[in-house]
Amino acid sequence: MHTNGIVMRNTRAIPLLLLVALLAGCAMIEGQYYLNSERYEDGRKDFAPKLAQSPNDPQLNYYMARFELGAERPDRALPYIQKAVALVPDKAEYRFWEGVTWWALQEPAKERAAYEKALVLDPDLRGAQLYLAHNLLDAGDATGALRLYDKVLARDPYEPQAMFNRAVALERLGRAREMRTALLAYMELYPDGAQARQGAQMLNLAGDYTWRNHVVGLRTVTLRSIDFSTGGSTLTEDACASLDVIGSVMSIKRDFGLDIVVFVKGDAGLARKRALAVREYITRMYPQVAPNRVFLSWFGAEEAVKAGGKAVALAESVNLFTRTN
Amino acid sequence: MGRASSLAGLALAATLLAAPASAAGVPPAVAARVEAAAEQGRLAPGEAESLQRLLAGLQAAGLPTAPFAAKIEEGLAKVVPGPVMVRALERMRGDFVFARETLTFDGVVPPEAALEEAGESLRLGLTREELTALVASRGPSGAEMVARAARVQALLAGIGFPRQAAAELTRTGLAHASLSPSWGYLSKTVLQARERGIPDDRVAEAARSVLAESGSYNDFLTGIGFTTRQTREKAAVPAK
Repeated sequence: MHTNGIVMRNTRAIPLLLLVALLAGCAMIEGQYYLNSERYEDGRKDFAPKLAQSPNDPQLNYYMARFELGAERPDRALPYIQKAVALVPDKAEYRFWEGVTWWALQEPAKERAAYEKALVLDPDLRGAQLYLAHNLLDAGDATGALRLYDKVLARDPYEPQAMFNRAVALERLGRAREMRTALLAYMELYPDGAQARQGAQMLNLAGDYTWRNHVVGLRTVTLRSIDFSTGGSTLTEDACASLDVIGSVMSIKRDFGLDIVVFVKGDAGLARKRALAVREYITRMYPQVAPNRVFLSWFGAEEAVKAGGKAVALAESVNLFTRTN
Repeated sequence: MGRASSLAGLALAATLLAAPASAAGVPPAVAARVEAAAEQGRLAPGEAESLQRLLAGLQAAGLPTAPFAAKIEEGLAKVVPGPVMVRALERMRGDFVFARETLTFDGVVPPEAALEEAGESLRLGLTREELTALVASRGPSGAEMVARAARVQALLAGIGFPRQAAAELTRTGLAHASLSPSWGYLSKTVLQARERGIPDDRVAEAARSVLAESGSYNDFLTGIGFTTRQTREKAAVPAK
């Protein structure tokens, strides 16, 4: 009962404290609120008069910089973050965001200097380690970048940017086998988005077609290759997961059809069975997809694909692409 | 010389009394600089009058004064001859009038920032035909995005990027309303890409395809093999 009373009193006190903080103009709470809700313009409008009143408040300057950066206006962010840094030179986070601002302005040398200063102040600032690694990678120092990515991943093994760019660094160092392992691990965890698309291209270029990019409707999606039981036409679990993506998109967007092209070197009959199995799966699992939207082709030959200008022959494969109705 | 200067000053004072530039939104410091330049004989009385008249008429024409004031400051600082300055400013006004007329569509006058961006783009070398073409292919995009497209195209032209490819990617960005402010830095990215041996046509194709999918600038950077940063990170303090 006594404990409950404390909890009750504390629960009541939290909104009150927040209110007091807001009334007192606590820049951190308010600034964070605008950042969290991605209301950069509102934040800027709210903070501008406060900053006019207290131009030497480092937090106000810092948050103004963050709002401008959020609104993709790094040129306007720069003077604010520089002022915050000048007012509190030993705050690593301000140096970090100064670096991000320089990056957005595409000034890599200044960006690097800012992260280096941040890391002098706080050697464990992971954001600065990661972005310094990016900076080094873009500058052609893949070895330096790799060392920093390893440092980041030692503490957070699933950090997506570090995982992906570590693979890029390995590729640039000519360590193709390690690159492939690193990239496959990344793709397992993060199979969507621009980096996944890039990752699939890198793998394909290295002769690995575990993942492929397909144009579905207006978008390019990255899918694990459509595989079957050895010598048969039973779809694997991973293949079903890839077809689920296609089926979902086709259920929603109904203005395009799907071409399924199956290749099996020396066995056109098996290629046909596999093509039918793919169509059967999509139309059964996604009844909104009418069978007449799915077009089948099969060949008893290799699929000739091009990766980075080089021709590659795949003995067994399924290619998917869409056609507008 | 001294007599000529004081006569110039008197003539200018009369002009200012007739149409006070400061009342027309012109920064008083710029009006004073023109006046001082006339008094020092840097500008002939007629030239100073032309500049003051031009400045005073901007607001009535719905044009922003700041870029003109900056141009005058720049001309005076670089000791550009008076007749050259007057000609340049008049040409600039012509460009801005054209930009204002072209960007006024659906009965809406463009915001001042968009007008400045489009006017500056013409000054940077975008042709009037190119600006007209951008407006014609604007799709769902408003004046601000059209102005951004104009600037992107002008900056790309300035670094020798293929004009046709630049026009195609800005048109794609307008058609999908996907040309966010970060694309304004595309010409700088192109320069960095060139340093890394990435050809312009690969950059153009990557940009066009990302814009067609309404992707982000970061998606485009990833597509050409650059790393990205998260500028909208919510955390106040990056992970430790």
